[in-house]
Amino acid sequence: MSIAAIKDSDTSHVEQRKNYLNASSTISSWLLTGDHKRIAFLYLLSISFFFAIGAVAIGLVRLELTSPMGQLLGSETYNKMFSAHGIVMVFFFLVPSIPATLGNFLIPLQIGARDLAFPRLNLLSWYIYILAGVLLLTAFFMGGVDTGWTFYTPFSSLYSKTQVTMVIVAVFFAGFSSIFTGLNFIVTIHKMRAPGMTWDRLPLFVWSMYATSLIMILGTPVVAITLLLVVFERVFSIGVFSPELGGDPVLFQHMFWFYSHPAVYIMVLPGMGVISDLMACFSQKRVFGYHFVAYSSLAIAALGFIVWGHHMFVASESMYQGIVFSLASFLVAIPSAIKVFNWTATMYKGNIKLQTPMLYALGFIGLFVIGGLTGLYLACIATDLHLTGTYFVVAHFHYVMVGGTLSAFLGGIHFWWPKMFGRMYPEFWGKIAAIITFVGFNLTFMPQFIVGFLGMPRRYHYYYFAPEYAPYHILSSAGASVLAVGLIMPLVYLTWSLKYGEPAGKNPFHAVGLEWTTQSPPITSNFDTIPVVTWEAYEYTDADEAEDIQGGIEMAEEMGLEK
Amino acid sequence: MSTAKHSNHAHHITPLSTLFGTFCILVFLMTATVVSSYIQITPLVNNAINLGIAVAKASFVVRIFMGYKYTSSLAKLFALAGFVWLMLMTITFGDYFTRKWEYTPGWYKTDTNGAPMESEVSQSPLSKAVSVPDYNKNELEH
Amino acid sequence: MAAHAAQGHGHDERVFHQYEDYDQQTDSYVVGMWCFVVQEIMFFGALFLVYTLYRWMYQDDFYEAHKVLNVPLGAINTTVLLTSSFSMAVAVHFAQLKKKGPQLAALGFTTICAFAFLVIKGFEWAEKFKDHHVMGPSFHWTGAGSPAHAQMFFSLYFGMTGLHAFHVIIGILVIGALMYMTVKDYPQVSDYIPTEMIGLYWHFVDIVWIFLFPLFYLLPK
Repeated sequence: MSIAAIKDSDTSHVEQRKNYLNASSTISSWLLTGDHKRIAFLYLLSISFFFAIGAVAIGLVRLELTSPMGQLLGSETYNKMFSAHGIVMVFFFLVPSIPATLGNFLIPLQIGARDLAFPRLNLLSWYIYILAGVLLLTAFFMGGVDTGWTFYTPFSSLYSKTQVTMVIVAVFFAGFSSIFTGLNFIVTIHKMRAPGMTWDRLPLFVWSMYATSLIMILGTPVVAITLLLVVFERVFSIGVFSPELGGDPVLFQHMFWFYSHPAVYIMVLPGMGVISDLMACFSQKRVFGYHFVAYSSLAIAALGFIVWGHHMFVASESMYQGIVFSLASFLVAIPSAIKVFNWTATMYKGNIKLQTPMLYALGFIGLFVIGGLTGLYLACIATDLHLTGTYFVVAHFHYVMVGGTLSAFLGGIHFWWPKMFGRMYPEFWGKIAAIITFVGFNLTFMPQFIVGFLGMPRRYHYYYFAPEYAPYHILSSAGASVLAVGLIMPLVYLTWSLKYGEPAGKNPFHAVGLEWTTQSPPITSNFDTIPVVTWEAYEYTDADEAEDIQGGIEMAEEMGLEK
Repeated sequence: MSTAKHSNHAHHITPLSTLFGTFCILVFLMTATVVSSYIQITPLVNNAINLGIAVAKASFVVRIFMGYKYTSSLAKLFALAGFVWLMLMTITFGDYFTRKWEYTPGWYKTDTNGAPMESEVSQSPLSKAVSVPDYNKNELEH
Repeated sequence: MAAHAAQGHGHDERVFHQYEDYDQQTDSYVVGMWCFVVQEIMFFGALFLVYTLYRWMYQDDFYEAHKVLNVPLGAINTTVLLTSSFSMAVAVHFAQLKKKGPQLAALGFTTICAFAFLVIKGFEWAEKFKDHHVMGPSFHWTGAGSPAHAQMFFSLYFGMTGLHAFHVIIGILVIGALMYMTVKDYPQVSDYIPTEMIGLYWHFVDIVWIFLFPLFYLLPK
């Protein structure tokens, strides 16, 4: 099938057919569904809910920090608020965000399958996630938790009097939800590809989801058992991390970060996959260096596993081991940079269209570069001694996680929204929201780099000892409210577009990829007949256009416009 | 699917005699490991025997009982990945082995003057290069 | 593959709608189960890492502490589990030959072994409770070596064997469900794949014990 054929067939279909959304409408058909698209929708609703909770928690924290005296919340409440923010955002939003929504929705569509390999396992993982969420909320209502999202021992195991046990059990379950999702994706990507869909023809989103899934099944069990040991320590007085019995609390950090550092890549790799697809579509060009981008995902996944020690440079970790981890951390920058350069090169001489998803994608690149480069400051032991535990760290990982993952998530949601629901989002409001989000984000976190560098420690609920930090904090809090506006806007207009949006048609963005060859929204079984793939990934330029471009270049050269 | 071209892996049926033979070997190895534990040679040798036998037993179970031998190469790859990845975790030991190479205030047992005990430091092959601060002297100067 | 696709979709009753054909389904199950085993390897592997570290740190105290463990019972338990693993393999063998009677018998024997394992384990544990060798406030150590490190040893012992026992219980439930479904002729278990998958899980549980046994019961001085 040629690309031109796909484009032409855009309008030819009359969309009166049943799709996955209206195929059946009983509650049980939603709650007992095996359809990956419906489960993606269930996930989308649930993670949005948890995002809102995490956002409210951090809203209170930012309000508190507008004054050096800490007048709004008590120290205990403050601790519980930032812990709630961290736990909810990491384990209940960022980790499942792109994989469980876009990944669930797109992987079978992009590889030409009717569903994931194990639909019931997929549904089970959603239920486990919900069970975890209910436990977490119960724990919050019973008083919350004050350990931060990292649950460092011995505070979490011996001293904290808050609901640590219940929260850890919730995180444990969320972990298993993510393991099952990862397992499902791996099997699906290996075994369910359509005929002709070789690894070289997979969209880069699928590649990055594959790398993500590997981390999920290789890393998550480790954090699960580690957290379980903390629970055992609280409940059965097992003494694995207890210094009284000769245990080493730092061992907890080793084991925790063995997962939790790769978990950062669970969060950002899917985002990178989304950005690859967006870059290709809105430049109307094949991704530059397709194989490099694909393999760099795997390289990030693999290298990500040997750098965890850089979280413990000042936590009594051996200096010699620190050097090893520091070097390894620098190495991760290489595949990340490969991706950034390739995206940039993709745009070169592309036919760039600055639609909403592209704005998010461009924002992603800028913010991810800042986030990534400041990571190098922290990977370097000498500078890390000064910066560790300050707002510099906070700003760094928010640039990666929020500037990176959240931008990609929003970009991806906008891009595939017409495919998911058959309606276009309002382009004007989309662009406005993308710009507001970008501005608000920088306003929030750029001052945190500065105040962190000046020495403001993270997790402090007052800073009367250094009132000169106040302007930065006030700027940051003001930026957070701008960011909030930027995030509430999509919520409103995307919901609005479900009913009033323009019908999108099969392929509103003239994108290539199997998902754009089905109707929007797709039918329950995705494809009428399983396609046979005979074309390469991102085959954007068709023969005529290529000739035109070639002709144009030659003409330009003749006219001496180009070297 | 494109890779799944030919996957009649499944239809290999392991004969009962092989299974029983494997079982006998496993029980024999189990007995051997128990017996070996009553003969103390050196901890290193005994540990090596114990773990060697455990690995041998495990590999029999994996290869014959779990049918690793006859399964698809993809499944083999994943099974291997588990063990290889586990090895990555052992990087952790690097920390514990080298921790005492460098004196860290407050981390070790100290004598009454606050100086590190002799046994706690200087175990490093680099110990000549690393100088331990003279805490006794500092105490006096203050 | 085109040939497979042409055969179409939904011809074979055993094949779920998302798969094109039976082979694809079987392959997916096998790869999925191995992935799950990999996940379990990492899960237990982290515990083995903790064990190794503390064993390295406190070898002498661990040696003293391990003396109270009952080696004969441990050896018997190892044999019981090895036997159950063997009978599980036999069950897969008969499932492949579609001989339901012997398959059920072998599965039944596997569950009996699993129960036996738990009962013996229960006796061992009861002994530890009686002698105040369970970690926590009631822990009391009269043997040689540091009591704190002995408590650490028993923390690891109970943590790791406890988690293993939990896996055995799950195994019993799953094998029980498989037997029930086989007796009732459920279409999902009409071939040998479910038995083989559960077998993979069960053998993994066996392997964990194969390592736990020498690491806890047979410490050299």
